[in-house]
Amino acid sequence: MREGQAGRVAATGYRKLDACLPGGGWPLASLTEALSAACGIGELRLFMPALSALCRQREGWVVWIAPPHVPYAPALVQWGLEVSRVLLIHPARDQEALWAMEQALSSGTCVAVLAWINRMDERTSRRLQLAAGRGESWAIAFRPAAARREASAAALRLLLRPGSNGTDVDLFKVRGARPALVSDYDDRDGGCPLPLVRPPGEGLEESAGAVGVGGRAGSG
Amino acid sequence: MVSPLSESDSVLPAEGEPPQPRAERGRVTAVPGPARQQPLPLGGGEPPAEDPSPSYSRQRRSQCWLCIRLPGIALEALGESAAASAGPVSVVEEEGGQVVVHLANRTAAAAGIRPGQTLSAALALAPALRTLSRRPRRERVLLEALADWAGRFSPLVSPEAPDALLLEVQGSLRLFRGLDRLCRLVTEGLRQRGHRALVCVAPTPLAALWLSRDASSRVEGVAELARYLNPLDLRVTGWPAAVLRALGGIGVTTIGECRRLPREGFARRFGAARLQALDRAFGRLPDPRPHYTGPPRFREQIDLGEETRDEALLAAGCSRLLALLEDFLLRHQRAARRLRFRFFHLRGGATPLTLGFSDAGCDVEHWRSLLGIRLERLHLPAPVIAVELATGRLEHRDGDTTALPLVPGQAGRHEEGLPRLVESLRARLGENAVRGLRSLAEHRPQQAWDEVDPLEGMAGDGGAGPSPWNRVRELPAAAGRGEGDDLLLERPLWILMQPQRLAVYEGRPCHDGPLQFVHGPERIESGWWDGADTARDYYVAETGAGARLWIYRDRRPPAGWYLQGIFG
Repeated sequence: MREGQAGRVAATGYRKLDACLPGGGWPLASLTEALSAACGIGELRLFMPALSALCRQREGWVVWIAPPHVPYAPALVQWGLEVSRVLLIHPARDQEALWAMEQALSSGTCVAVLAWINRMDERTSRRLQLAAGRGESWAIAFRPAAARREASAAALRLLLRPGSNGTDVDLFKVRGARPALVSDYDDRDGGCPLPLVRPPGEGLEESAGAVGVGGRAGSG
Repeated sequence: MVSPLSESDSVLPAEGEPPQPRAERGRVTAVPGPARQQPLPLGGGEPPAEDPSPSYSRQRRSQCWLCIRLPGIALEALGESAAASAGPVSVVEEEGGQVVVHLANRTAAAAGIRPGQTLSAALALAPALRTLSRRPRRERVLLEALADWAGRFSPLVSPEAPDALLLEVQGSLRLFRGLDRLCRLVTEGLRQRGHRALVCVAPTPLAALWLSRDASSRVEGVAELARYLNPLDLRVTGWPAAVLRALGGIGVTTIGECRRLPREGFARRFGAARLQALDRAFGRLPDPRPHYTGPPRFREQIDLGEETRDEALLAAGCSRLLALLEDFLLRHQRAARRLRFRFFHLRGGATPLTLGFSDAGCDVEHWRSLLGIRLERLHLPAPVIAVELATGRLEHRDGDTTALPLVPGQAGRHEEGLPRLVESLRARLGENAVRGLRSLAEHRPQQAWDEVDPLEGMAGDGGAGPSPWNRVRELPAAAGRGEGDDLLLERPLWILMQPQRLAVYEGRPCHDGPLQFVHGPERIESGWWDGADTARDYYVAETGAGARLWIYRDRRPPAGWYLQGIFG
């Protein structure tokens, strides 16, 4: 966490993004809107380094409201997020999701509140923005790409879309800075890739070079 | 038969007289507690300064007992004041088939009505006499309420039915700046509550009680006790009438006379309990008293005056109940874990609403906000006429042990607030809508995680390892991805509850078009022992739209491709 002119920020963990954001990181205590064209193109990975760093600095919940799937606990551990601080909330309706989000944000006990929300009008976004400021939590609203046309009070709005080489992040509304386009934001060396042993498609019966991870192969 | 008394044989020891072996046998001082092993002096151990043998009163720290006696409690419990001049009033009760006067107010007393008179005699004296029947239950409730109130003067309050309270105030003297002021505060406080009270102070509870049946007096030390107690009429002891009659028959009417009787004979003829009572009153035997600890539960009801469905009115009623509860909990230093509201309907039945908390506490503000959330969603089948609030069994309140707030407004705030968020979310969304996660040491992806109660992990500090909340700062700063973890391969951030079967086109699995393999395979074979045997080759694959998926090929028949997770 850093204090900057733009308020408190958290380094994103991605050099290219830090360079385009005022203060050099995600604006905390405010609402960030992440629009994405598809699920799985890196919309969560984008925030994971900052979330796990925040968790190490501050106590509090990381709340997931109405996630589309179950966050996979071993993966969270890999990213350095303390799993016992994750709170999963499954509201029955959109209205309740927004209520829960506002409640969590303003409680002051959450490091971050991640919510998957389809419909959110400008008034709601303003309320969430205020609640985030009140509770000093970071609100992230994940929304479909079509929401780009809607007005919103979020401090930061971005759109993820598959680019020619990795995923591009279109920072189309940045409070305190110009909009920017970051292509292939994830330029780290990508974890520890396993070389593709044999191009599948032709006969996948036995792959001699398979890396065994399991009871018989030991914990290698 | 009355045997002539000899000095050496009396309850009161003669100076320098050696202890009588005979009396040792007759000493019926089987006092509970191992502390009372040393032999008691034969006779009355007073004054202690002159008594060569060890006396109980000398081995303990001095006590100061304050007895509050409410002579008019029978009238006051019925809502009448003993001093009221609204005509003669008396409380009557049935005794041995006769209706007799139990208590008369001042006007009635002036007309010559005395306790113990039969009703007909009383009516003959004052034909305008208004009679009320005695309500022992109400007296008991009133006495308990006053014991509650008296808790402000001492932590040790012991109600002595039917009309007295005993307070051990030695420890409170400094706080109240002396006995004089304390007595004044007690009397004044009771007067304001509409009770006439007699206050007596003595070093032993029984002495204070007996003295209070005579008149207000104050005895400062054990040495003084004899001077005050000896002249008292034996009736102050409240011993059974038969015992008093028998004692009167041998010419014994005061406590002093009684103490001159031989111990052994006295115990045999009038009961060992009488001898023990005398010893307790004079501080020669310990006299442990039960503490009044307040009722084990809270239950209070308010009437709303008229039937209503108005949420604001109901909330106001509940709020009042909560304020009462807060007061109650503070006074008794208790904490509640469950609150049960009941909304009564005029045509019978009640709608319940229960609030449960992760921790027993007494934070009424928090309860109020939770109740607000629940009230909004409460379905009432009919208008409400009354609301009741009851608690489960109350727990003792833990002392406030939070660290000193070195950084103002920071310390303790989080630890306390964390479960609260869960509680308020659950209040509205339901118990199961708020879950926590857990990672398990397991190779099979499906079994490597679990949903848990988010509060369980927090409650576990001190139990199995440090709580994650305390571990926060101990996490290595470099706990980035993969490092220090035995899983070398990146796992997807999303997992599907059930693997989704993928279509296969020309030998390639498809998901929005054919998938591109990125890396793999990673073979996972495990679980042959628990019936969920798994043999799979996992790949990371990419869709045409750029989404990264975690898919596997089942190596066991029927083989096929499945989607397990999404990298997000």
